[in-house]
Amino acid sequence: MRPYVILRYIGLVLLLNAGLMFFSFLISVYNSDSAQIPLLLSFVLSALLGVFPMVFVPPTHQISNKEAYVIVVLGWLVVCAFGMLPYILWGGEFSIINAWFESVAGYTTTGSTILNDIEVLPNGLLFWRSATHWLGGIGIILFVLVIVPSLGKTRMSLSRLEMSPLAKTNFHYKTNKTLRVVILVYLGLTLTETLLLYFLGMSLFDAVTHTFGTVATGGFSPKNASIGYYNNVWIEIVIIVFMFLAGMHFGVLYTIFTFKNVKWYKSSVVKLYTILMIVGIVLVTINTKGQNYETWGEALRYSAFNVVSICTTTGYGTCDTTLWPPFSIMILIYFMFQCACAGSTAGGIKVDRVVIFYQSLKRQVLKLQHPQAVIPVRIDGQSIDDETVDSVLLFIVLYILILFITGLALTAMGVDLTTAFSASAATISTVGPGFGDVGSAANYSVIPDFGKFLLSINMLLGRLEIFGLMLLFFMKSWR
Amino acid sequence: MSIRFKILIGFLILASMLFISGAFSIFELTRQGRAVKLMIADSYQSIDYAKQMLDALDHQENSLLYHIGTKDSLVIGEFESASNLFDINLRNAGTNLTHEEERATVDSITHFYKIYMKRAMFALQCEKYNFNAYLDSIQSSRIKTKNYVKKLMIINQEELYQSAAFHEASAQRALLPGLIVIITSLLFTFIFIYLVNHYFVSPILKITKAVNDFVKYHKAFDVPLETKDEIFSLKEAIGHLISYTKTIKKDE
Repeated sequence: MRPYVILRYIGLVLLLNAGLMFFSFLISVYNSDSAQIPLLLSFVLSALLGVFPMVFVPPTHQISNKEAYVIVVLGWLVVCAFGMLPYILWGGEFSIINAWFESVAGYTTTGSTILNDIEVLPNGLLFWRSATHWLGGIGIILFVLVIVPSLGKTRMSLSRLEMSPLAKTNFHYKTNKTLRVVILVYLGLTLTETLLLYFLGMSLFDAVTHTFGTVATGGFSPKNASIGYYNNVWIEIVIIVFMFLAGMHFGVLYTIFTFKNVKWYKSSVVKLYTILMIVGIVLVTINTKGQNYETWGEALRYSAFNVVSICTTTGYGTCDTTLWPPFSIMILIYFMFQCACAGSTAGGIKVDRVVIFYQSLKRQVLKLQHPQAVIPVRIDGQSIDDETVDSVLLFIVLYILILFITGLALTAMGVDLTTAFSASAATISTVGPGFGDVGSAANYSVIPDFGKFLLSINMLLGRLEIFGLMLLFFMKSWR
Repeated sequence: MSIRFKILIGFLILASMLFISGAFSIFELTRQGRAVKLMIADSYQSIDYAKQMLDALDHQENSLLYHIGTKDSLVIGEFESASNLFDINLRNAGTNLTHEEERATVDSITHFYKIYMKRAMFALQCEKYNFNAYLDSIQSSRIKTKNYVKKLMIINQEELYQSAAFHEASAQRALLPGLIVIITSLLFTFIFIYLVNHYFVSPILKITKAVNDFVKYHKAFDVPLETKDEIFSLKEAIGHLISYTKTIKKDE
């Protein structure tokens, strides 16, 4: 392994981060707010440390698998560490652990916050907070791959590791085109939603920050009451639509918007994603009507927004879902596990894995009936190899195990059962709000410091799909 | 890119980081110092005004009681000068408010002092005013005024203590930026040392070894280098020298 090559690419990632910090600094200067010096200092430090390896290390056109893994994982850790600088330097509620938690929640698009009062933050810092979502949503490394033109084979090695393994199977393009598709869809969604929200009455600043939170399925809002602050049905409808789209495979979105002759609606993953979401909304509407909301319209409005928000791992809220009946909460908890599609910006188990899990379950039953039969697991007529099926099943088991261990650790720290397990699930799925003390109307400030650290690891595990981060600890045994 | 340029950039970055660290620490310390000075000055002044008000009130009280006992009109002048002193300090305290509670207390002092003055002036002008009338009418407003002046003093003393505690926490917070820059500088230094070692020291050692191997064992001079800088030129020059020596030897 060549550490200098790793340094060069991490430097690139830091430079990209520094660029966005500088943009946030300009916003801070425009608003003459108190985040100017923290953002400027963070920008200078990130830029200096990022540019230096580029001066020394010449471009490399080929990197090994091991190097690519270290670049991706260390890249995420380094940006999270440098991303917390503006928070620490600004002060307020940001202690070191709080700043780290907020930074990780931003980049991993979890959207959990430790802030009791978000609106006291200056605009520059609020923009930075949402910008971390936008950058993290698509994957910092992917951005670098698109921005830097002369990466050659390195581009392929890094993109293979940065994207969800399931996402890649659904792309039928070469690496370069895949990257271009992802970025095009992402930019297209960002621009369209910003314009729509702006025309519906949001200020440009609010429109941009909320768009960042939506397309990245993050959930950071510059308002304490999140989307509920606007109390505007049309804004909610636009955000619902974009949360739904951001939860879909970007390759599918590309075929839809470029009017390609592909029957995307026949995809079992898209069908299941849509049907389950509709069923969830209908059940929650029926359950909350009368108990929480007086009219059907009101029940449908709040159910639709919050179910889609949780299912796509966005985490925006328009009401306090902890006040919903237990049945509705259970539905939300299910969606917290299932989440959206692979190839999107969402975290969690993902619908694709649920489909594979269901198909392998079906195969197992058939095998019991016909022990000699060779029955492959198929999705939309395409057979999935056993290695993929095994890794999906292992992923689900590991996911549950990590969730249980973190929940157990939190309860040992004195956190109540509902809060502990929902916080654990909400962070590993990168959803954001949980239930109990960390519900949609509350925040994570009540969690002990070590608990916050554990939850931040959960977020990283969720974003890097568990195996990515785990590999870093087994580097020595990797030959 | 030449070695000279690379090293220069390295040291420039390091110097910039140290400069930022120093500048930020100086900026934070100066800001803290100014804030502490301002806070202390504000609270200290309010305490001083309150003290002078208490003195003036005592002086007025003595003059008033003396007048009630002796009916000596000479003390009226002393009463009035003490009253002026009280007014000046009350006005000053009113313009030096740092706290909402302080404003309410100053309003209360103004209110009760007005009542006290009205009754005291009546006592000074009335020939038949006695101690019983004083106890019934004046004393309560005097005690209330005095209590509120004392309260003003206590509020400022507490604020002084609280601002000291706040600035202690702020000082710890002010250390953070400097600390962050120092940690980043250290990280940078390690990276710098590593890169200098990898790109400058290690190639020089490789060239030295290759030259020695050539001299001792007549091994071919072949040193793979990644960069095209002064070390690369040195390697090329040594290569030329070796081939030149070989040609001379052949000619001989």
